[in-house]
Amino acid sequence: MFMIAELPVVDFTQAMNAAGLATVALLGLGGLWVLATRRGEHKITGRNWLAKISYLVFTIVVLVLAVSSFGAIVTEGHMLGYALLAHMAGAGAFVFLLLAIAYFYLPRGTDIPSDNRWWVARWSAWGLVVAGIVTAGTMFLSMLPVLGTQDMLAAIAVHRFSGLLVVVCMVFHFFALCCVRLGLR
Amino acid sequence: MFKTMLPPVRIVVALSVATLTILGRTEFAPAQNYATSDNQSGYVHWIELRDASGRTIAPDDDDAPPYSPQQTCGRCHDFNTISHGWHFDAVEQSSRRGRPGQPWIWSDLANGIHMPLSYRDWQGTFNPDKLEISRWQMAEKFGGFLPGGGPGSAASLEHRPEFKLPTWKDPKDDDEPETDGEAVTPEHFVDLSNVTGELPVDCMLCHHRPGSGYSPFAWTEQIEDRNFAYAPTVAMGIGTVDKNSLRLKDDFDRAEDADKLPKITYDAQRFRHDGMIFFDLVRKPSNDSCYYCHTNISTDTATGGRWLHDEDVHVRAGIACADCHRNGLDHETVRGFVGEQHPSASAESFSCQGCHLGSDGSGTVAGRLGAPKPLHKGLPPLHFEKLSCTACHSGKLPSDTLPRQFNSIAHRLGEHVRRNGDEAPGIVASALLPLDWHPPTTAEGDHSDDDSDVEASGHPSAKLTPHRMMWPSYWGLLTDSGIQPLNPEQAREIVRKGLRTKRDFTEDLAKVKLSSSQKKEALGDRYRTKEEEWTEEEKAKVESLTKKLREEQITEKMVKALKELEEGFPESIAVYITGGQGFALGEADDLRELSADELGDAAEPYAWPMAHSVRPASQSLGIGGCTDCHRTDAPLFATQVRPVGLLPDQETEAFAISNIQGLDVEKLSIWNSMFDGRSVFKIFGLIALGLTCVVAVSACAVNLSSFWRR
Repeated sequence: MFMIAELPVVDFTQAMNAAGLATVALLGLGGLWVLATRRGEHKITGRNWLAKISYLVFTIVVLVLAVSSFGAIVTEGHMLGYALLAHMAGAGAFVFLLLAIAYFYLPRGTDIPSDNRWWVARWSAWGLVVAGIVTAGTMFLSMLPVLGTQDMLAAIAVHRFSGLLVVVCMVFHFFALCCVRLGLR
Repeated sequence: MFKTMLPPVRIVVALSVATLTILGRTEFAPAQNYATSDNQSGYVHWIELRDASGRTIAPDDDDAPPYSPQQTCGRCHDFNTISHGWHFDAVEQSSRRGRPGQPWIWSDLANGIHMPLSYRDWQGTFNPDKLEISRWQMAEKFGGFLPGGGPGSAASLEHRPEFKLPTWKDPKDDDEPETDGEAVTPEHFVDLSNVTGELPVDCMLCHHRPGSGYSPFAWTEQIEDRNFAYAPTVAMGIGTVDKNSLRLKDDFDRAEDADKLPKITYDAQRFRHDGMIFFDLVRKPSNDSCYYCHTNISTDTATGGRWLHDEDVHVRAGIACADCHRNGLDHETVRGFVGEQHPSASAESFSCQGCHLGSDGSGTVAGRLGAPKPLHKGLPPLHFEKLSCTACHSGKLPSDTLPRQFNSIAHRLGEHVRRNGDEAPGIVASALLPLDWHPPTTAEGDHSDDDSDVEASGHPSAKLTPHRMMWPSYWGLLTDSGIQPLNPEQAREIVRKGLRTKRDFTEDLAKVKLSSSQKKEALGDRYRTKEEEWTEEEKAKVESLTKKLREEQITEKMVKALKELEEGFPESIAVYITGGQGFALGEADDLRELSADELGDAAEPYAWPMAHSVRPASQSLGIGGCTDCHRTDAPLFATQVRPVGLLPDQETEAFAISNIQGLDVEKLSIWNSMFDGRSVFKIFGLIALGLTCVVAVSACAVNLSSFWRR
């Protein structure tokens, strides 16, 4: 029923390195481009306090999840011990905070102009939420007695890649929010 | 054309053809030295019996010798190849060491000695050669549960170890032994192979058909009677023997005293008119043949709960032991674990993984013998890196304590006696330990010197696997370099005078019978009253007195035994090791417990992995969910291990198995606590995830509608 095992084999560490390099490069180039083409838009004071706190905590949680997973994979080759413990603890918070992020930060047709006025902010928010749903979804799927070993391995692979996408989207979303709030876009 | 060639050319051509033919046979088709029937229905064995010299045996001959399986079976089967297989080659230097397995346990019930032995130098066992136990002594002690050969083979019996153990000197004997400069064979090194001959290989011990009348226990009895050569004949039930060889003196001479040897009387009715006899055998050994030496059964099962005992799920499915633990002509029996080094590359396909999941190494696909492919739904794959298959599927489900087990060889199962479950040696199971588990330190001179070729090091070593465990009990000497175990026979000879324990060390040490005066001391004038009429207070008084006397008796006897040892080894401190503890003489003529430093790893248990009985998937560990293992008090980590000591009232310290699993207990505790309320988290987490989807979909719909409105 759940035959998702036949996925293309991609070396995750290579993909992670490539994604990291691409993110840094894009971020640098994007920063330069934004500075070079600044528009002098009005600054945005921000959303309500609950949205702000949610975003702050979510950022910290994503950071913890990224370090505990990708950091452990880079240094140890796999996730074990306290890294896994931290990842498990962070994952619990991630699921609930993702709901808040989706509620507060997903663009809706009515909230323009806002900090979603720049397309990078809008699309990175979508990327963040959709990748977050896939990441959390594969985790939940693995916790239920539905997937066999091969399917679970595939689910874990999907979890890794979607998790990587969450981090990348998070970086761009944060970047975009900063640009918008500073009035650069 | 050949005839038209010149003679020298003919010779060259002929030699070339002959060479190519020989090379071709060698490379592509190994020569078959023995004929085979190759019919799956098997071969009906009506054959002649032959004695050790290869002569045909006439059953009506008054001096008919015992039959020799080597000569009888070896006429059609490659005996030399067969007799170096796994069950025979423990003493051979070239033998596979393999991962630790069931040791031979040298037991001397009366004197409290239970030492795990192995020639394969499994860590935690004692090498019999280093203990100066002769190969003949090993054959006599364990031959009853061996298919013959091994330590008792002719080549092995010639082996003489270097005698390095400290020599005991009888303090009453002032004479120095005359050595003439040659190494003196110590008295504890006994070799009566001049009386018994070699231990013959008995093919029928494994290959007899159940119900054919072959009795493995008759084989055992004959070995114990030192009737080595007669054992195959008597076990097969084709002849009886009139006496045993126990009474033959050490200086027995076969040539001069041949009439003192036991005599065989054959059952003439078993022979056909042409002298042939029917060997009722099977090619593939039956389970019962394996069970004779490889029964491992819970003591509670053996002492009344047999009807509640479920067999291994494979056996119930009709799979025989030899279906997985199979071998070729070389009798290199597959042990059946991942990473096994075996002459055949396909051995790995007979492990759990090989049959159920397939084996990349041997190229076999899953499903061998109809093995279902497990799905392990909901089980994170990380578990396969941490647990062996047997951790969840074999042995009894982990419980609060480790129950004791009987083993065929260690407890002489097969002998018709009453057992209460407390019989030594105390073997406990199933202890879930890492696969390469061994005590944290290693005794000097023991088995850690050449770990490079240890098979266990070649496969994932940290997987938790069910193990059997035993704590050694022995007498030894505390020297500067640690505790040196004494040869068990030597120790027996010395300590028995002090112990005066006749049958069972523990029972006899604990046995106290109150004298009339002692009863009077406890009960006053009512000391003649029957036990049934004692009041509770009187019972308590008697019990208290008995306990006191027992403690005094244990101390007195142990002190005597240790003193006897120290008199013979004046430079050393005599010690007794049991239940993970060590005891020596105290300053006030009492017993003192050795400190951890003094003890080193001398009292550490030996543990060896086990694989059976396999439970069905529906009874596997984890079938009840994550919290089968991931909770604070889960037996997987919290099972209490209590070393089995032999001293009566010995207080051994129990500990949680997690302490020896090599795990970070603190981390484990945090990890397990994360599973508290996991079900609730799953529900609320799924709700949150569902709401996130709803929010995302609604945002999408809003965006799409505003897009269309534009």
